[in-house]
Amino acid sequence: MTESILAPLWISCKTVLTTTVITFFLGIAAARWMAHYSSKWKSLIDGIFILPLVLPPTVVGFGLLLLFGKNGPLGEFFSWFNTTIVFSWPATVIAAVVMTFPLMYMSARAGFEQVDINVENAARTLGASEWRVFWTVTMPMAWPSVVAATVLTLARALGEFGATLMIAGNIPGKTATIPVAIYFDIQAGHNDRALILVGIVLVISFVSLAVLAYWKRKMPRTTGFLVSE
Amino acid sequence: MDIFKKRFFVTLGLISLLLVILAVLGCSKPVPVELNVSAASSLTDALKAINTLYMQENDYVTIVANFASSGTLQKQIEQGAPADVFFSAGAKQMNALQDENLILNETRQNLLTNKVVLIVPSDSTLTFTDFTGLLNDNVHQIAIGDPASVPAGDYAKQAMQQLGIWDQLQSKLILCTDVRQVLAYVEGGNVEAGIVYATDAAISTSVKVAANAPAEINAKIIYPIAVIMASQNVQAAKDYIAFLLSNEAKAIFEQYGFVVVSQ
Amino acid sequence: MLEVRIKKSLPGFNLDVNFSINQEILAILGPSGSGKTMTLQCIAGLIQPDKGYIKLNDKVLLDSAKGIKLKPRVRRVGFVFQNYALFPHLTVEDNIAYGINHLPKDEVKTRVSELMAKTHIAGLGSRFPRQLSAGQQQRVSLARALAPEPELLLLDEPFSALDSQVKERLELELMNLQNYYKGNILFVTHDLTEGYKIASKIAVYESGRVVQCDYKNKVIGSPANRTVARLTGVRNIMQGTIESIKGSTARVMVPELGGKLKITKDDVANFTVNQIVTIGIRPEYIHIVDHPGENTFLCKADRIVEGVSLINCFFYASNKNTERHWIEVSLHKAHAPLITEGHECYVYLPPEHIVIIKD
Repeated sequence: MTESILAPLWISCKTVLTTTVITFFLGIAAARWMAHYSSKWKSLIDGIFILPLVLPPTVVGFGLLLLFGKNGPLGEFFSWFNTTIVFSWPATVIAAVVMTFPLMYMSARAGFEQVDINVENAARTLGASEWRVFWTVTMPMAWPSVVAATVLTLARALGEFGATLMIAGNIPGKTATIPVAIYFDIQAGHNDRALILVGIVLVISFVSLAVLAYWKRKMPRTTGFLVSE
Repeated sequence: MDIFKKRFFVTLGLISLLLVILAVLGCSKPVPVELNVSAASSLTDALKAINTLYMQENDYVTIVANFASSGTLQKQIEQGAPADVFFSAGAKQMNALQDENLILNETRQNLLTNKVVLIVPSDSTLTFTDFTGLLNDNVHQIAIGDPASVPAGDYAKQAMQQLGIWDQLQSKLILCTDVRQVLAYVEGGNVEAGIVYATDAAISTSVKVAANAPAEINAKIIYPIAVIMASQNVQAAKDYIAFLLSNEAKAIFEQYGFVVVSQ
Repeated sequence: MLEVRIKKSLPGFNLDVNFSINQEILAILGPSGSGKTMTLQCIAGLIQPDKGYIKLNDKVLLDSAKGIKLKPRVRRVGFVFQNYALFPHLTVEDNIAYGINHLPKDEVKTRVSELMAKTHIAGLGSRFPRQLSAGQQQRVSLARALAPEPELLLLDEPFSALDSQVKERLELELMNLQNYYKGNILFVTHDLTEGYKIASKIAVYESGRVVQCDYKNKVIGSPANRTVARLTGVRNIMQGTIESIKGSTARVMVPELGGKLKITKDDVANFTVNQIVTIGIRPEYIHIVDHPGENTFLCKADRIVEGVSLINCFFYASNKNTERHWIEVSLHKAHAPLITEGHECYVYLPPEHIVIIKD
């Protein structure tokens, strides 16, 4: 029984951590680009980025399958390198990244847009390159939003099921993440195993929320002044 | 009479009229019945054709068909999902319900058998004499139903165990929620092989049968049917099952490749 | 030396400005929305004009004809924002050091402490902006902008959000700035008094254009148009026709007063006889006298408004053939004659204080 609990646990660990790192950088990059970007294409690009959030996971999963499958454009590309993406562990990461990206993007972007442009401009006049402005001014000021977004990403990646099942499938020991394992355990009548996995997910979720709450309290407030001369 | 009283009586009169009309209409036909039939995925196409025919011949019956793996359906019935008839692809699931007193025992009977086959995409160049060919390095991934809840998957496992290849094939297996998903994977070309029923292979033009399961395994395949204890339409359910045993239904089953068990 | 010639077109607004200064302090004065902040931002490179030319000392910052457009970070322009724009997550020291942290650590430390001393915020180094008062924050903002030794310092309404006591103190400090900062200074204000105190030159903006840019006494004494006049505190704006000019004396017929005004000003030579002009005079230069005479008119007091140290009287000229516009007179309480509403008295407009504007 421990094997059937440790295996999904280990796979979910790898998948969630890898996904969170990838989504963190991709989401922040996209948010940075779109935050102060204005063009007629803005709404269209924005819509594409948010799409996985509004579509049912199975639809997204199906789209990914078409893309990465044997007859899909990316599937054929990878087959040149003798690699198949579908039904492999990387597919769990791809599914999770696609499903969590909109969350990271939206929250980070909202955070960046709230940063007072005068403060960023001040940094520019003081000789900072755009890169330096971003990492030393924008990010620290938007940090609470970024942290919240990361926790959301982590939680969403942990619970990702529909799209994962579609392109990674249920291969115990290889691609079966915790949510997939729970589903099949229930199907098969192994309610005890399912409950243990559910318990683990609950514990991880509560711990994440607690960490988030603690961090929010510790961060210095970045607005306003208290004393009058 | 003031305006409100007048409106009240007019409304009352209209409602009464409506009720009378409905009663009159109602009495002229048998009470309409909605029959919930939970059937294994492998029965999807054959049963849909049969159901259409049944509803044409009995226009007061509406059949609501729920297709999924037998294991899923068993779970649903155990949890109280509305079902009048359970048509399983394996005895194990029906036995479970019988042990839990969820079916009307006297209505249980074996209706069909099937064969389990190995399928490959129709453009595949791989050839097999039997399931042992799955050990070949050219076969990277094999889709089967989850043995724990899908009868076809269970038969696949038994076949592989009988041939002594089950343990070695573990890392190549993708466990699916039902046979139709296995079929879809093989059709899509994302797996090199899959194990489904011969009837599933028959309805798809994108796959071909590459090998048969050992005869002893095929001999075990049985599709039992029964009326659910909690059914609100027991007579209609029994009538439906009787139709499935008829020659008309038999012809359709055989058309789809099922073998009807002689009664 | 700063040369600015920029144009920018926006829906409903056109910016078209042209001015230059040479190691002095220029105050940019004008109503809200006249393009003052936009000008500063164009000079700093934070927004781009449609076309233009900006040169600071010997470096061309912008030349749209040649395709030169320097990024803000290399322009060496310091900017003090209206809302201070301090980095909330950095201490005061780190804020000030932000623009110079590529220098060796000891030099950074020295410069920071020097600037903090000069801007009177020594000892606040490890505090965060939210722990400072508005005045302190503004000082940090100034120190921060000065740290990289910019060639030009821009201040966008630096004191508008402060209460009057703090404002006065900071104005004094800004005037002292020239003791240790030798670059050009441009600051935007909507307060004439502040601009006059601190700057040597004033540029007056109206609807995206510079209507006058000159030494402050010229702007006050010879406003280029009605807007400048109004903005610089000239009241009692009336129309008149020039009847004669002799040397630096002109006589102007002013129907509103029902009589002729004698004006003695150096620039009357710029006008011609029979030219219609606008004249005005500051309320504080008008005297109340007790006998008729040249430039003296009989008026009736219509309204008296008592302030803390001044009394503002609003008169109508008693001549019944005139249009009814107020003549505003400002008197110090210390030596104001007693006037009540309805009271008639003689109002004297000194010829050397009357301002004449080409209409």
